[in-house]
Amino acid sequence: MKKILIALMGVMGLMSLMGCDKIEPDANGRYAVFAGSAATWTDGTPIANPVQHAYVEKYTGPICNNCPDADRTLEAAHTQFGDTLVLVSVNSKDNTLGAPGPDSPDMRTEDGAIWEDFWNIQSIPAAYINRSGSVYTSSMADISAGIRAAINESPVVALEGSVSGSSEISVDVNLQFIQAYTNPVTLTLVLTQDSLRYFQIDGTQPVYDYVHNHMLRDVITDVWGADIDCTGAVGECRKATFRFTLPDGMEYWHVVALVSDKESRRVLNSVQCN
Amino acid sequence: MKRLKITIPLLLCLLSATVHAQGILGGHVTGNVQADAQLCRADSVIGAEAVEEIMRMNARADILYTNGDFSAGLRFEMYQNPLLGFDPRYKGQGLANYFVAYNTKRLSVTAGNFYEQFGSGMILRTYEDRYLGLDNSLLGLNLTFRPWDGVTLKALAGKQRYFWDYGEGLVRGIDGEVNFNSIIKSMQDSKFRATVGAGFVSKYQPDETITLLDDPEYKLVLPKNVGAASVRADLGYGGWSLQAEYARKGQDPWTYNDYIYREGEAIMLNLGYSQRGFSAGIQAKRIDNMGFKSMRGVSGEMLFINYLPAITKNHTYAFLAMYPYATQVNGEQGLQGDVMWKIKKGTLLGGKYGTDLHINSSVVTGLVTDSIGGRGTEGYTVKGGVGDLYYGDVSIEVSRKLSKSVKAALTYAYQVFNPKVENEIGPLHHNNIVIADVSWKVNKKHSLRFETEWLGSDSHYDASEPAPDMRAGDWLMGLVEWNIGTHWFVTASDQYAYRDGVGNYPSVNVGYTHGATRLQLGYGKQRKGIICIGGVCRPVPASNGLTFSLTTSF
Repeated sequence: MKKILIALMGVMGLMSLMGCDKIEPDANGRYAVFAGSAATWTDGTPIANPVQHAYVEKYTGPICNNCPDADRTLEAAHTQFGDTLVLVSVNSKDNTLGAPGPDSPDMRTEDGAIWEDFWNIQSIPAAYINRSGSVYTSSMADISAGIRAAINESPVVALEGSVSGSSEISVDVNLQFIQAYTNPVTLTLVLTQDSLRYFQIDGTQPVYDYVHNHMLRDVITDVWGADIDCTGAVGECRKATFRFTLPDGMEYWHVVALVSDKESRRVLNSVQCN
Repeated sequence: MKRLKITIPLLLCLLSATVHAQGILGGHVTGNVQADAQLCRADSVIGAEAVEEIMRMNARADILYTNGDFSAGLRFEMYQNPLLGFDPRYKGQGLANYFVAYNTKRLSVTAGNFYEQFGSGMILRTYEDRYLGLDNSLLGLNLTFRPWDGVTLKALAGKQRYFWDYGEGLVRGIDGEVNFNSIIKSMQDSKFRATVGAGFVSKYQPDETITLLDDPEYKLVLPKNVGAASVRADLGYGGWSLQAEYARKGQDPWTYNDYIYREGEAIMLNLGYSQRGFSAGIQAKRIDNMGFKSMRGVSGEMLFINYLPAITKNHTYAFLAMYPYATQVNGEQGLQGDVMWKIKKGTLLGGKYGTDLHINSSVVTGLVTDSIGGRGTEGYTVKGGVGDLYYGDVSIEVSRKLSKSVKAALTYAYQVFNPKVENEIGPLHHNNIVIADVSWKVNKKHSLRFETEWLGSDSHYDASEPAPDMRAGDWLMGLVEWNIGTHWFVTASDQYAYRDGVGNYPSVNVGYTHGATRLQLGYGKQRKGIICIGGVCRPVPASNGLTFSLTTSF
């Protein structure tokens, strides 16, 4: 009995000692994140020409020698499908393949790590279309077919977005349910950046000024999105405005909007807002 | 907590049965009962309001069963409805506290509600004070292990009482203490005494949405687990003693600090010297953002995990206690000095019977800070130096036996009080107080006590203020207490604001004591104010009416 109680004391002691969280501030010294759900949803406007986009979320890393092949495949697809293909590249949290190369910024993000853990990404490069279906790896030569199929689907939700401002930006999102959808849905706003030049292993060659596009820099809303206040009835239109402060001096940035099923996290539609 | 609805008759039956059940099952039953009732009527002069239910009552009964190393207890409480000044959320009745415990020389286990303290309480102290309407007991498991004489290890986990419920915050803690005089043989008879200890407490509370005030689209990233640790030492040599404790708390944004992320710290030092007929002590304390609650959004005195001891004297005379000091958990620093000297009889100052001299002085100020943002930031930085004066006092009490039957005490005190400590705005109050207290043992059966108090203040009553201070102005008080034998007593008193104030507060009380039972009936007026015990306070509203009190133990 005494041994059990002493062991219990030890467990309680360990529980106590581990019980202290340390929160780091953001660049502005604030211990706060954008509370997407705080944005107010109001009645939106009908969307004249609903378009189904394909969202490709790709996991990559500077020390990953096969990743440039995947980049080239997806850039070719981007040329082929235009704005109907929405790309986001997530720098893997992997301490080896995702680590920054020489004289390079660390592009790993907390939000990207959460996504990567959730999808249980085992190796890179890896990509999902609309966060569902098969995972594409290596050179992703067969991904075009998947993108085409996704684009050809009849949209559940039509989505459009626009961005105004330069440092303090406002993101206006408007959506319309084309088909009835009763599951809860969320809106995720993702900040990406193009034309970033830093180290990348390409095959066997180190490239010190490799051009990285569509890189995930931040998730503006909660990592899995803000709740959309809606019923999901056919024809229902909803809109909201989100504000965000860009990091100082940021160039070549874009905001990507995703409407997702809250439970399965499948992306129903997406759009690059600027 | 699932409140158990027990009717009053059932409780009385239970009590009656229990009182006569001492010795049941080979064990021993003890307990106590207290009931305080109040009949209120309106009095527009002092701001007292009538209450709908005419009478209000707080009552409680503690029952403890002990059988060898085993003990079990429960407390029934009833607030129908709570006395004026007590939080209305107490309204109701039921079992408020219950536990079973097993205690041996080496091990103590308590399951249920328990009270515990680590060191001076700066990281953990759960306690209850019925006069403050405060109970922050933990419901959970409390283990104490004493592997050797002089070594004490504690571990606990539980949730804190929150009126008739429990807060969602989970409190976990460990503490260890070593008394070197007990564990080292050569120190057992040493003049040098040393005890050291350390503790750690962590609270867990789930996330919630708290937005920035100036940018409500941003929500705080809240620490779900907040830790606090302390180290302490209690040293002594001969008549000297030194107690020191340092505590630190991790990021803990909560309502009292307006959700800032600055880490907290507190230090307390207590140096004392005593010998026969003389004692002196000096105490220093500094607190910086050290309030620690198990629920971040709850204001008031409930759910505090820690206790930050007051550094001012806890006065008992009415006018000395009229402006009590409330500990400022967000930040304060202070000093207190205390000297007691028993001047020998037969000397010039001591007189025929000896004279007691007691001098006490304390000063508490704020910290000097630079704001670096509000909610959701570090909040502020602290610079050295002395901030706003919060409270200061010096009191000198001389007491002396004048004859075989007469004893007198004379007290003079000077106080400076900053309304800021009560979250009020206004200039400092400067008070001079004089008190004369004379006891006269008339004969074997009768004794009388006379008390006269005067308070001169530079504060003024202003009816145009949103919440006028009913304590303002100059006051006089007289009290006569008549003790008849060992059973009866009668007191009559009056407090009167004769200048720059308002109110006349007469009071008459009659009491009867028999054994462990005491009954008291009174009629009088109560001034609106604040009551503090050990720096923890609750407001007291004005009242006018009958009061009744019963206490008994068995």
